[in-house]
Amino acid sequence: MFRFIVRRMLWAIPVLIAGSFILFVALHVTTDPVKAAIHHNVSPDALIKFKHDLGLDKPLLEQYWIFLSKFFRGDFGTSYTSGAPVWPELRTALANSLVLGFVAGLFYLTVGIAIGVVSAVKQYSWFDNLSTGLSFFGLAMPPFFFGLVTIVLVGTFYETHFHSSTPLLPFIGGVYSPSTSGFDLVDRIKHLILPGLTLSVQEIAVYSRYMRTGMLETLNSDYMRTARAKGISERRVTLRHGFRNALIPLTTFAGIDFGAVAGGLIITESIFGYNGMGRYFLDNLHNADYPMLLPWMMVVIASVVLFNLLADLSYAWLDPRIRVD
Amino acid sequence: MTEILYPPLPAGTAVSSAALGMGEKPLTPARLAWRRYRRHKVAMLSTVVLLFIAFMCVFAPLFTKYDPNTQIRANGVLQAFLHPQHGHWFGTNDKARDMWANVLYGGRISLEVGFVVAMVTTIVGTIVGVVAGYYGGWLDNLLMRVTDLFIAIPFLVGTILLSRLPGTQAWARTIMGPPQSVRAVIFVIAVFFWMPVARIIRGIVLSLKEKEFVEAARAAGASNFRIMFRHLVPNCTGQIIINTTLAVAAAILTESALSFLGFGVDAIFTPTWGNLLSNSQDFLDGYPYLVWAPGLAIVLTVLCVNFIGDGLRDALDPKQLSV
Repeated sequence: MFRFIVRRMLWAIPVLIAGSFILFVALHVTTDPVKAAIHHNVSPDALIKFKHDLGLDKPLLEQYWIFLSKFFRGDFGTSYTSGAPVWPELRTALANSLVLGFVAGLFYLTVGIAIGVVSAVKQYSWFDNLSTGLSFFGLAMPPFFFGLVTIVLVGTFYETHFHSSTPLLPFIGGVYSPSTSGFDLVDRIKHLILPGLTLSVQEIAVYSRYMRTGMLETLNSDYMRTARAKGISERRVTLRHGFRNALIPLTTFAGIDFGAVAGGLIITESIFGYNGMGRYFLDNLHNADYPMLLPWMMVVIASVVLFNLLADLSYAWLDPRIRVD
Repeated sequence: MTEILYPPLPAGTAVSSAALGMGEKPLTPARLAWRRYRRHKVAMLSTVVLLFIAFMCVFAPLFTKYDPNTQIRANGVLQAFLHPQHGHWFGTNDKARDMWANVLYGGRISLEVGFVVAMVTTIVGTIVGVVAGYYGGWLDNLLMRVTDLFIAIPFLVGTILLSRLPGTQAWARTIMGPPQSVRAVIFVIAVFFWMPVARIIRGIVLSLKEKEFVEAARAAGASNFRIMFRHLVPNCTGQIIINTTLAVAAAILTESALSFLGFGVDAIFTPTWGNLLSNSQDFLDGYPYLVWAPGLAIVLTVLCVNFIGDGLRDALDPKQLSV
């Protein structure tokens, strides 16, 4: 197991470097900070100086090296546009996205797995048929459409039909209502409900289907029959032998999902104006603000790599057969 | 598999099915699949609905007298934000354009993107998969690492960056067309869509290439190319069709997501379901009806395509549990 962990961790390093280099090049090819700055009325001479000062006239490989060495020394630099240091803003965005991602993740995993297990245990019951039907709807529902519908429902619809001057739940502005000062848990939770639900719709559909399939496979396997033959109660057979084994393939999917959280829940965040990594990316992409975007990129790739690693490790831990190869 | 296997007959031999001891027509795999598909009632219904939607979008002028970009005027006054009413079933939007016409014409683009992306990615994915699986060795390794790389790039980040390429690089415009054109969007989505097909086909080919019929073909002097595309690919037909169908649904959703974020098809002259929906979000407060038409169009279409995919899976791959 130890060798497996070490090997997987070493493999993560070239992936991180290759991935960040590709995104670095992609960013430089598709955006131009100088062009973005023209909007701010800069003279051509100043532009050349600007380019030189930022080191943008150096070869791409050298620029990448400068960025990388600064990044690993913890020197994140300051924004082109606002001049503010990068790290505090990135940290806030990351924290916000992680909170939203994990709260929503906990919710959709719990609900999705529960629905999947019940559907499999009671195959072809009314519950199974209903959840199958709903999951098809969930899969066909674009998250942004669902998000807009929730906004209409808690906003306009609620206000007119329940004679209220305020919406049922806040749906604009990421984290705090402007009126609150400091940390307000209730307000914070309220702000998470709609984005969380929006994120969950498709995911619940996906996970309940995966779980149902996995559960049906394990329920019909030989070791389940053996367990029953040994006289273990049906409940224990289902939970200890069936459920636990059916969870194994899900860890990979969940790992990939959570790894993507740092990359931002781009759509959800932009619907609800939630101040997370997705909005951070879109805002700074518009300004081609490299000092803001490059550390973002590193965090995103590192998180994808890290969670894939965790998924692999948990997979190996749960299913000893994996470790052999 | 339950197909009835006949001994191969010399070409030109006319043998009646009765002579083979069969009173009815022989069941080809295609006919068997069709029979199973017909039994899937939801899939059959979805096929009809989807064909109907496609028909309405393709022949949009038959169903609306308005051009999507015509501004509706009454007595010279622009009729923006008309609520749904007779003559304007889905109302008019902020630009005083008829929403029913926009949804129909927008469907053309959304469906076009869906189908073209599915076709292109199936072809590319199949070629990559069959070449990697058949040749194995370093070629397989190389192709699969490239596939992994594309999978590792965060999907929306990749598509957003790529969609900006024709705006900044002249050479990209020769391949992708002008920025925010339909062609550019199809290209952007297709670049990040071919990997699953490639992996699936490679997996099947890896096991198929050890089978006797491949050996027989090789013994008969068939070239590698012939073995791959006349013997191996036809044996993957079921999986290919299923994945193409699901790719259509996913591509329609992706197109709308990109348009929604403002990286899709330019909303000013070319409506798509995605950019109509995106446009509607600014007017949620007073005019929520603008959300329903394009949103429900997407849901209904994707729902139909997914049901068809489910039916095809039952029909073409009876061994697999439907997910």
